[in-house]
Amino acid sequence: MTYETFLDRLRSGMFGVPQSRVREIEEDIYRHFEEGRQNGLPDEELAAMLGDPDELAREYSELYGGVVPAETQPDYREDPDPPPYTPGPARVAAVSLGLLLLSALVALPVTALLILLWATLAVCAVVGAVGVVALLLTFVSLAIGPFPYLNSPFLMNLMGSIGAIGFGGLSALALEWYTKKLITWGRRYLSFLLTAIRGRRTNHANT
Amino acid sequence: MSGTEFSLIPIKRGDVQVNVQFKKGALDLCVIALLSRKDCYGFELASTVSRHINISEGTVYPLLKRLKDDRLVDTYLVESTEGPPRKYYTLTDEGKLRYEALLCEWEAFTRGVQSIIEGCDEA
Repeated sequence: MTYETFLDRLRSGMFGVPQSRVREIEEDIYRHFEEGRQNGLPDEELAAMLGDPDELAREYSELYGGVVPAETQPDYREDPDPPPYTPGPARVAAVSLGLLLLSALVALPVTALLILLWATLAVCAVVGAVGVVALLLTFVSLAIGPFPYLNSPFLMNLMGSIGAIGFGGLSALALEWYTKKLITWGRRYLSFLLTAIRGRRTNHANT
Repeated sequence: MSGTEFSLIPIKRGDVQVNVQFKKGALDLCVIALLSRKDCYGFELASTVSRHINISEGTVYPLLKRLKDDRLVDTYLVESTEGPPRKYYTLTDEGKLRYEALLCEWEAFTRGVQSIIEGCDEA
C-alpha cells in the first residue's frame, strides 16, 4: 500500500472527527512516513507496519468523533436532518381540547365584539354613501325644481349631506383599516391554533 | 521496561479483539516508560514499541494524541537535515508523576496475576 492509499483510507474511515484534528492526524502520518523513509524503509513496509488504516480510523473516531461507526455505515453522519417530528394522538387530542375551550371562552366573545364594531363602521360608511346621493339630489332639485320627496329646506339638506359624507368618509377609511387588521388577526390566530396542534419542531423535540 | 516480549499464542479471529484490548491497556505504560528515558519522535516510538510488542505501529498515534490532550506529554519540533522538522514527544511533569503511579499499579497487578497463575493461595 502506498502512502497516498493509506491516507485516503484513513481519511474516508474517520467519522465525526473535527477538521482540525484530521489535519493533525494526517500530519502525524506524513511525519511517520518521512521519518521511516529516512530510516531507509520503503512506503509499502511502513504502511504495513502501521496496520490497517480502517482500524486506525475507527480508533480516531472513537477518540474524537464520540461515535463508533458500525463496520460499514459510510453515510452514518452525513444526514444532518433529524426525522420529522410527529406528535402522538394523545397530545393532539389534549391540545385540541384546550384550544377549543380557549376559542369558546375567549376568542368567540372577542371576535363577536370585533365584528360588531366592524358592522357599526360599515353602517356609518353606508350613511356616507347615502349622503353623496342626498347631496346630488339636493343640487338636482335646486337646478330643475323640487322633488316630491325633498320637502325640507335646501340649506338643511346641504349641510346634512356634507356632514354625512364627511362622517361616512372617515368611517369608510376606518373600516378599510379595520377590515385588514381583522383579517391579519384572524390569520394569526388560525396559524397559532395549527402550530399548537401540530407541535413546534425544535432541535430537541425528537429526543 | 526490560524488553518485555509478549509471547502470543496463535489466536482465532474472534479472540483478536480481546488480545488487542489487553495489549492496548499496557501500551500507555510502554510509551510513557520510553519517554521517561528520552524524548522520541513518532516513528522512533512506534517502531520501538512494535519491536517489543506485536501491535500495529499506527496504534501509538491515537494514544500519543490522547496523552497530549491529557497534558501528560508535550511536543516540540527539531530541524532535521534529511527532511521536514521532526516532532519530538516529551514527558511533562504531570506525565512523570503518572509514570510513577502507573508503574506501581503495573507491578502490583502483574504480581497479583502471577500469583494467581502460580496458585500461591491455594494451599
